[in-house]
Amino acid sequence: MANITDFLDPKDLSRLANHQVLAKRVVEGFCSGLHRSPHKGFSVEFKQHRAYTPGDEIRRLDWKVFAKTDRFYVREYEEETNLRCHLLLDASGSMSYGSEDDKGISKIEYGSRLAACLAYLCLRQTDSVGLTTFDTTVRSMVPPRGGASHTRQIIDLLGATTTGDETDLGKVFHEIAPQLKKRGMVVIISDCFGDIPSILKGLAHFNHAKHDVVVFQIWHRDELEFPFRSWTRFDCLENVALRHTVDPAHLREAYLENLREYRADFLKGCHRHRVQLFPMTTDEPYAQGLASFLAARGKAGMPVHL
Amino acid sequence: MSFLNGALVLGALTALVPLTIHLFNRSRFKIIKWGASHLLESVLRKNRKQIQLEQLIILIIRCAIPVLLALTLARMVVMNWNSFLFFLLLPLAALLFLIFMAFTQRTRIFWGFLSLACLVATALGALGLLPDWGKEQKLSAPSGDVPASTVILLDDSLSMNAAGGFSKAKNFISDYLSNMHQQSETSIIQLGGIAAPVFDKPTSDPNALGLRTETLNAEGDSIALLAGLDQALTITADGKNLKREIILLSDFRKQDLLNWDGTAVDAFRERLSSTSNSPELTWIDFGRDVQSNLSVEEVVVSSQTIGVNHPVLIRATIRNFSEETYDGNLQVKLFADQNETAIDEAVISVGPLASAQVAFTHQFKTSGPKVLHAEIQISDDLLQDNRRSAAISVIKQIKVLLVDGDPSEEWLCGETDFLKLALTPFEESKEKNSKESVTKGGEMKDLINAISLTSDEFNKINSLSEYSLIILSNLQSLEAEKAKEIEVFTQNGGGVLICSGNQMQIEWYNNTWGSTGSNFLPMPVKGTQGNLQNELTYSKISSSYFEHPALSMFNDPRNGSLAAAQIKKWIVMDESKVRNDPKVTILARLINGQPILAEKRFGKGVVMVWGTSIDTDWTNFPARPSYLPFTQQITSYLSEKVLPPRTVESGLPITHYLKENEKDLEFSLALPNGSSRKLVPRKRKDRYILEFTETRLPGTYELSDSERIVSKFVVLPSVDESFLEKAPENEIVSTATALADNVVRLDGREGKGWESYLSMDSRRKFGRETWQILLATVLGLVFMEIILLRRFGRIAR
Repeated sequence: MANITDFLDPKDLSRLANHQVLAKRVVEGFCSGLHRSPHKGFSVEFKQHRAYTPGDEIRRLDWKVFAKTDRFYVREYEEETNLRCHLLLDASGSMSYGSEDDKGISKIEYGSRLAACLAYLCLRQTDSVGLTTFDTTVRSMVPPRGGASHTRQIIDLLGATTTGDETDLGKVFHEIAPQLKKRGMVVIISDCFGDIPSILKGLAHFNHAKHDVVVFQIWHRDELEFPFRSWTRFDCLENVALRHTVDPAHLREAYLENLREYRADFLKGCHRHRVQLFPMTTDEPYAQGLASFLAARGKAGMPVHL
Repeated sequence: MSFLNGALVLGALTALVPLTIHLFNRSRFKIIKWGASHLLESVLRKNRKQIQLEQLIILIIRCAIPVLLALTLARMVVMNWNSFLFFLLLPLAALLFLIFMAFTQRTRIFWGFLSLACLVATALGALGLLPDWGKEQKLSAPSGDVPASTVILLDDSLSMNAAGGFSKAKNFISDYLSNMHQQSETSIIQLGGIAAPVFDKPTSDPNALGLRTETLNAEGDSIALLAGLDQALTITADGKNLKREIILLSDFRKQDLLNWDGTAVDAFRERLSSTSNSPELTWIDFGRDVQSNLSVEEVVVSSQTIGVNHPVLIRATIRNFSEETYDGNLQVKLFADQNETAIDEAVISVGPLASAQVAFTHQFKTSGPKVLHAEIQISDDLLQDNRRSAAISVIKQIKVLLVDGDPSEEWLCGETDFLKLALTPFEESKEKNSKESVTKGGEMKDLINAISLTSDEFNKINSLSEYSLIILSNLQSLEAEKAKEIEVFTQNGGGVLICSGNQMQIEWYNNTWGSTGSNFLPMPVKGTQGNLQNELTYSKISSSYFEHPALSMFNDPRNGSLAAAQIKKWIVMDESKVRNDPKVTILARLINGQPILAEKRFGKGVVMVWGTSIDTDWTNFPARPSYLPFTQQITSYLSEKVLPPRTVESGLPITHYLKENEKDLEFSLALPNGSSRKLVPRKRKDRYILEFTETRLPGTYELSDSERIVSKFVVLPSVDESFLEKAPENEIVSTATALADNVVRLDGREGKGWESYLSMDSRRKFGRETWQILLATVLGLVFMEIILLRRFGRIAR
């Protein structure tokens, strides 16, 4: 059984203590919480007065206004709802890159910790969190649920997750999207390697279902900088048959150009589908990245409070 | 195509280093499990061939750099455009087209085809399948601008002085040196007598060479042209420059081209043709036809060793090489040492192409080494041969004790009478012909002071030390005490000559001085042989070559022959016991092989036994002309006064004998040109000598120890140098063609040698050194590699 401290470092959590995972868009929830709900109803946060129409509950009449104006007004409150957070963790072969690296951690480890961290944050603010791991298809799934004990389930699944084979993000996203019944936040932790149009179509599917989609794109420094000098045989992590023995110094420029283009295309596509793309590299502490992400999200959305 | 530093071509093997590194890298690669394959895959898919091409280009450049660098250091020389094209231009062009191919997309095939075509052309050219385009056109550079390895053969024989030939030759050299390229190396070899380079190695310093050349004088003997050419070829073959040249500056006289050794000429020709990048030969003639020359051909002195106040006869032979007649108006002067006032002079007549002799006598007042010069007082075309010298040694008297074993009152009947007459002719003639002597030889003194004693008188005298030689002639026996005294005298460095005769007690000699006694005699005496009665049974001294210095003068038949004397009776010396004794030497033998004159070194001195009588009892030798020089020589030798010749031809060594106590002294030899050399005594056959072999310079050599001049030597130039007749043109041409195919001949007689050389040289063509081009190519390739490495990253995506 996975140990919680494998994924959640108290130090990292303390950094994130002041941040809540705030759904940028209105999501459906079933208990009131920090998040705006599309349903107006009983709550403490006053929104507006509305003229009484027959059928409104009498108890919601604002008697003070009636006393002043001699007309019936109903007080409307902004209902705060619980966040349903769906964590989608890519467990494809390419995510295992960096495991042979002595210093750093692999992308999947990094992603797992990030997922654990997010789950913890959500659960702490009494939101519900679910976790889905996938490669070509959904490998396992923990449905969204609240409560502190749910952390254990998430951590167990993360601990049991190993990298698999190829990915086809677009296909998997189409597969997952219908399973998420209620609107909520979809956090995709992946390197997003694959055919960009297909991935974007998958993301569009989530978007279409009114989910708030965040993509944490996990990079390894090597993938961004291609620092290899001597002759190298590149064995593909997802397809064993693919092997290339090359002089990397020779290819570097072309590779980096290719990479730049790929990232630009992906970013553009994400913007188009109102998907928030947040790239992270495994050599920078995830807590720091996550903190800056949350802070930025706080500014753009609701005020941040506990 | 050739190389000046051939061995460095092997450096081209370093091209294997980048190749090995490339293969090594390919076989030892890192394995990385890579995630972002989709990013890499597309790059690879599109560029695989391009990458391979680029890697090939980089590999070729990396391999080419060490190869070209090796060729640069090996200093590749291209003789014509043909090799330049096939081995340098075409491969580089192929590489260039390959690079074009890498950078273009549409015209790729075109460039590839051009590159391939260049490679094929190179291969075909290397195999000789293509026409030799440009082979006839020699690559060249302006002659004065190329560094050259030059050897100048300078004829510094005496004859070069005629009509200013030598100063013109020196002018040519100074012009040459002042126009010398900075990287040129030049040697000058003096040809007179023995070919000798001015500096040991070729030099690039024209000033040093110029200064040295300024001091050169034409004083040498006849030129050693072939030896000089041989040396020059050796020097130029090791020359570091491409342009190689041998310049001969000579007057080409008839004498120089005589006695030409055909096999040596052929050997030189073969060597020249087998030498790669063989030097060009240029002959510049500085010899003008001259009209008049007279020379002192020979100076002969009556004796090498002369006593103080003893008249020496000097005979000078004057030769006239001109058509002019000198009728009693040719003045000949005699000089002694460096003294410029003539000590004697004479006026002679000499006809055209004839020779005349003049005789002088001179008495030296002091002892010591002297030099005499005979000089003709005339200004002819070659002044340097108007004086000739001879070295002479003036000594005080040698004191000789003659012990007569068979004295007689009658003149010439005593045992030592002939000997005394021969040793002291002047004194004897004074005594016997007292009237004549007053007018003729009153002041003359004999070199040898001989005192004759009977054996009784001899037994009475106390000290022998004042004598340098004791001659025991026909002595019966001696008192034991006296015999011992003689041994001690010999051991201390004295000389003893024992002459045989009828009075001799052979038994006593064998017992006292033989092997049973003190072993003083060279060999035991077995008895006598021969018959005095029978006139026909006589023996003679074998006239073989005498190696011993005491008798070496009889190797020259002009000094008389020892073989002319009849020896009727002699003692038989048993040489069987002493064959291996290095102290015993047999100087002369009879024709039957028996020793007649033998010596033995005893202590520091020498004892000699003459096997027959020294008077006419047993032989008629005292009546022969050779008797006087024989006795004089033996006496001089035994008194240690026999010396090696002091007047030698140039090139022959000069030798000086040292006494035992002089072997640790320091000696220096002053050369005629003012320089001096330290001489180190060395031992040869138990005797310490000083020897100097580099006598190429004629003149007076002075040997001195730390205090005084010990000896003077005269080195004479060859008399050939006075023959100024020029070699006929066809003879020079045939000599030149026999030596080499392409000897360029120039005329420097009018002083225009340099101008004609310059105009000839500017037309001459040499192969071209390529190191500058190669180095530039190497640098270009290095830059290209750097640029290409940067450019090659930017490939299609």
